[in-house]
Amino acid sequence: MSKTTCSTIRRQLDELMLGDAQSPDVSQHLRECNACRDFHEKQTKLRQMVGSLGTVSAPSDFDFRLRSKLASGKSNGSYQLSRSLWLFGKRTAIVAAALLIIVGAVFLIRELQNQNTVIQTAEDNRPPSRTVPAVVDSTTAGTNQDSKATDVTAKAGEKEKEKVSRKIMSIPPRIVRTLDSKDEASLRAPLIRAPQQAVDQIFPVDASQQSLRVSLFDGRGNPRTISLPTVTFGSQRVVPTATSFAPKGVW
Amino acid sequence: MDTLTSIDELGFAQALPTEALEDTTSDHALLEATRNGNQDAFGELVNRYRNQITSYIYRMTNDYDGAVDLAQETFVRVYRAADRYQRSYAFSTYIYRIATNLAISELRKRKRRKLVSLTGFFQPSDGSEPKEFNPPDERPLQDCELVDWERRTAVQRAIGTLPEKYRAPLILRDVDGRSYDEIARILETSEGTVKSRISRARGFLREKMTAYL
Repeated sequence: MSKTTCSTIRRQLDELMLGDAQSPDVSQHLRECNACRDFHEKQTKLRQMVGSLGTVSAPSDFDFRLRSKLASGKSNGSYQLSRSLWLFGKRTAIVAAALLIIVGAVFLIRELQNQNTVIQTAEDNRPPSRTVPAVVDSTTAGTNQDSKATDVTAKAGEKEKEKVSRKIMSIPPRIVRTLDSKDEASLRAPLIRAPQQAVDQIFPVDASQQSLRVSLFDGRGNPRTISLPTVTFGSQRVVPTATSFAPKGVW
Repeated sequence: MDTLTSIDELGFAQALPTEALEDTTSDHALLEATRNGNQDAFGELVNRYRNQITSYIYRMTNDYDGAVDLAQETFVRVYRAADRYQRSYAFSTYIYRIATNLAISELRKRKRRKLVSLTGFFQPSDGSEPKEFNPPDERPLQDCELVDWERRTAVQRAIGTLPEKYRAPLILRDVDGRSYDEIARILETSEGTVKSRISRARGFLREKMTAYL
């Protein structure tokens, strides 16, 4: 007997209700196949046992308890309404509180980020510290001149720092014409690429309108001042972009 | 539907005009009358289905008191949802669906609660099927009735061990004698699935009840 036939017959037997008449094919198969006959007998017995469980009766006070439930459900109607409203209000309050906390946290984080940005900008705007060598005429200057030149350099450094700090504090720098001299010709000119608008920030000292004055001492100790016209020789020249050059007179 | 104000207004069991309503009125008409405020009609519905629903839930949960509570909850839901009732299916399908959902939810609640049962103390260590707590009764058998009672208890226990998705169709088919089509509508699934689940459920039961077959 093929397995396909047996499984088909068993499925058909399974779908029949107890006591339903079998088809002739099924009856014929059951007469010939011992395995299916055994399966059918056991299955029928099992179904009879399950079917014999029967119906359990409801208790005698079933109706009374049901009526009580229905009546109490009616009287609890207003209570349930107020309870649902209270739950709704509670949920709304929780959501509102959560939103408030989130908004506050976002505001606080943005505030902290702004503070960090201000500090970072101030640090970025500060010019890099550089050593300004004294102007020394190697042919005429003596040891006395060396000490004076160092003095002048120190003073220039302090003034420059003061000006930078005032710029940071958004206080307009005081225009002071000094006789300080610098010699940066021997230094390699750093190439600063920056937009034109940032020129003022890079050079807090507006030196474009000043002529260069060099104060020297002659051999007898008398000061000599030499005024030079505005000369562009490349020291700290600002090149805004790669293809354009800074206007004449901008240091 | 009119609302109720006291228990006395729900005197459907006693004040039922039985001859007028019994069997001659369809379930749909009774529910329609309930919707219009006829408490007697609802009482007739309760009379028609209380034993069936209690029995069905009892077979599902194996707990009589719980089954009675759930059967009452079923009728409460029918009463409160009478306005929303649609006549697309038979009323019996509708009420059995509510009862099935309640019974399955109760079974899931029990699983979550992890009730400590006596069966749990007899779990075999090799992971095989747990053995029921069924100490041998040394008393001599009195008569065939006792044998039948023991067999029914064994069947009920075996049904109780079936997964819920197999349990409901098996009870509806083999205990209540419902058609595959109706079972499919009650369980909101296809007829093929119902047939397959019933076949699997019988297979499980056959394994568990080998000693009685």
